[in-house]
Amino acid sequence: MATVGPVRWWRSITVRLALASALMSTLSIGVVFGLLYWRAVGVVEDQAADTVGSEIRSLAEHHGDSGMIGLVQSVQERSAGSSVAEPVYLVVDRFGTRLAGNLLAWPPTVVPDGAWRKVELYRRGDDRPMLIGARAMPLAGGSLLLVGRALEGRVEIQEAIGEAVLWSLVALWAMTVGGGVLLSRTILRRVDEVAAINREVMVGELGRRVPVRGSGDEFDRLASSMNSMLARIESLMTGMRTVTDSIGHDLRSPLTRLRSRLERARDAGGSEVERERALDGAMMEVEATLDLLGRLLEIARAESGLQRGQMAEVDLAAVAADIVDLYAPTAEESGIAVEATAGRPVPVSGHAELLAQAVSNLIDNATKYARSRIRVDVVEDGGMARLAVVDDGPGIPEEDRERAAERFVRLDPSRTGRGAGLGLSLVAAVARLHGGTLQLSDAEPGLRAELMLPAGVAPPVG
Amino acid sequence: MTRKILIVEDDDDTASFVERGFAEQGYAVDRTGDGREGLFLATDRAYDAIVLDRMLPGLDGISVLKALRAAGVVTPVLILSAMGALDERVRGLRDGSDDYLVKPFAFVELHARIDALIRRGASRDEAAPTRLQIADLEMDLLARKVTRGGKAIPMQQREFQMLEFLMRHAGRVVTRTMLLEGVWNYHFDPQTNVIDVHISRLRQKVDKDFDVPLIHTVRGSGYKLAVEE
Ligand SMILES: Nc1ncnc2c1ncn2[C@@H]1O[C@H](COP(=O)(O)OP(=O)(O)OP(=O)(O)O)[C@@H](O)[C@H]1O
Ligand SMILES: [Mg+2]
Repeated sequence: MATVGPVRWWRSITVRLALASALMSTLSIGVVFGLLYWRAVGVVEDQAADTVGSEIRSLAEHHGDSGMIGLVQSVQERSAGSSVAEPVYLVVDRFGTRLAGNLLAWPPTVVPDGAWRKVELYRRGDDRPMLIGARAMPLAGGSLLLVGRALEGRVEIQEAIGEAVLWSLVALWAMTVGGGVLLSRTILRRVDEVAAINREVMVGELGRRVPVRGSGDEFDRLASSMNSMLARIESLMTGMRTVTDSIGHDLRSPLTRLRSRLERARDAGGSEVERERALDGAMMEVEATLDLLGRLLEIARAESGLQRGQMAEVDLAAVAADIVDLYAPTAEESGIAVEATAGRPVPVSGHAELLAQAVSNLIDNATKYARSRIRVDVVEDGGMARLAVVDDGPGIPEEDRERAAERFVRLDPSRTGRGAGLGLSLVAAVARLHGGTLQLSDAEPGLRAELMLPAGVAPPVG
Repeated sequence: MTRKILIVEDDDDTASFVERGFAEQGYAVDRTGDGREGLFLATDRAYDAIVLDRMLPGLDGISVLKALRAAGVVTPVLILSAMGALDERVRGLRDGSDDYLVKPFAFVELHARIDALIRRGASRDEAAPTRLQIADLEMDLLARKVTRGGKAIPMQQREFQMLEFLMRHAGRVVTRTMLLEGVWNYHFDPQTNVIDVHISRLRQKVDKDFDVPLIHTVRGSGYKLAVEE
């Protein structure tokens, strides 16, 4: 058996999950900010291109209105004001001589066609090239005009976004690590809890249960399914113990009687009749004991669930009809009328032989206790196949109903001599085997014993 | 003609109990406690029936049975198995056994069943009868009518089936469980005397108004339909 030790943190599934999710988030942050950057830069540039376009048009108009003198003057005004010289201007005459503006010379890559271009230029008094977006156009008289804007904003965006990325990554990783540690500690604690309970159950503390917090989360679900498993194991173990105890106890008396009868037969001192009677009695004891043992084993097998592999489609209504047919004459002999509502087929996925045995146990009880009538109904109702055996006898008092289906429980042994108290136990075991229940209720007067099984031929769960 | 029977059973007590029982009934009995030897004997000699234990050393009962059937041996086989294994019966029958009995059993039960098996094996080749008759009791299987001494006896379906079962086993003991299996097709033990009540109703119809009773109770084991001397 593998021992359940503490989980190393790097083996912990939470840590691995947190890491994977951090990686995913990093990736998506990259994608989001990349897109943002690309779009932002585009917008800034489009704006610059528009501004430059309208400015160059208005300057060209100005040249048309007030001639070169006017143009030079307004260019000088505009470029003089800004020492940082974000806007770029240049006016050259047709020989390429600079007339006005804050550029030293006409950049060779700029063609005066009015189109938007990006060039790296040196401004006057600046030894660092900068990225400029510019438009240039020819003016009347062969001179040229260039208007541009520094695209430095792009770098700023880049830096801002880079910073944002960095900080979000730092925050993300901090949260991931912190959350992962926290999560894995909570989860590990709950896993350790379950493992601890398991160890206790393994050493024999069958009554231990995993705490359920009531939050309905996955651990609660796991805990309650484990608990029902543990409860089942416990009841099976208790059942086993009861069976072995009761077999021991219940076989002791018939075996003791058997022994004394055999002794009497041996010592019968010649009387042939007496010997024969003793032997017959011994025979009967043996039969009864074997019968008891066989029934106990049958219950144990039904309890074990081994026969689930042999389920087939069975018509519960047909089984009930067969058994009614089998028992009716016996009941009628004792003045009890048996009615069976002949209905349509009620298919269940089941073990025909065991179902027949269960129904016959119910009818057998009803025959013993009914005053004048027994009714057997089989119906399908809301996904449940219900088989009810109703009699008009004394019934079972409410407080005894739960106990009645336990092994060897006979509520009123004085009423009927015969019976081992195993009939209802088998019925209940067969019901459980089929994923159903046995319900005892008041038929006012009498007992209503109802076998409820999942209808249909789907394999029963659990 | 003596009937030959093979007992394959490793438990000495059970085996000798069965052997003695059959010998007393006039059968010739071979006996072995080993599956392989059982298989060898069963294929080598002509038996009328084989009693085969499920749990055997060497080769288990089901394997012996399968090997026998694979080799084309059609001798009727009755499987013996431990108690509490109601559901194993189905498996045994599926694997080619002709009958199944749970240990411990009464010898009369085993005898009645083997008797029925041998009889069935012998009549396998005959055409299926359309009429059955014992003394003045007649059954028409096609018209599903019963008459005794020329007088029609009205019967319900189950009664007809029971009488048919008894008539097919005429002169032999039929146990209560055989009736339950043969007529109702269930194998569990009904605890009470339900079958007896059915039989007594059948008797009312078949024997009551006639001088010679045909349905007899065999003490401690079951019933027999026969003209008793
Ligand atoms: N139809 C019924 N009416 C009144 N009491 C009942 C009825 N069925 C069962 N009981 C009570 O429940 C007890 C348990 O029933 P159960 O069938 O398990 O055992 P039993 O009938 O006494 O014996 P067994 O079935 O083994 O022969 C009975 O002893 C009886 O007291
Ligand atoms: Mg009962």
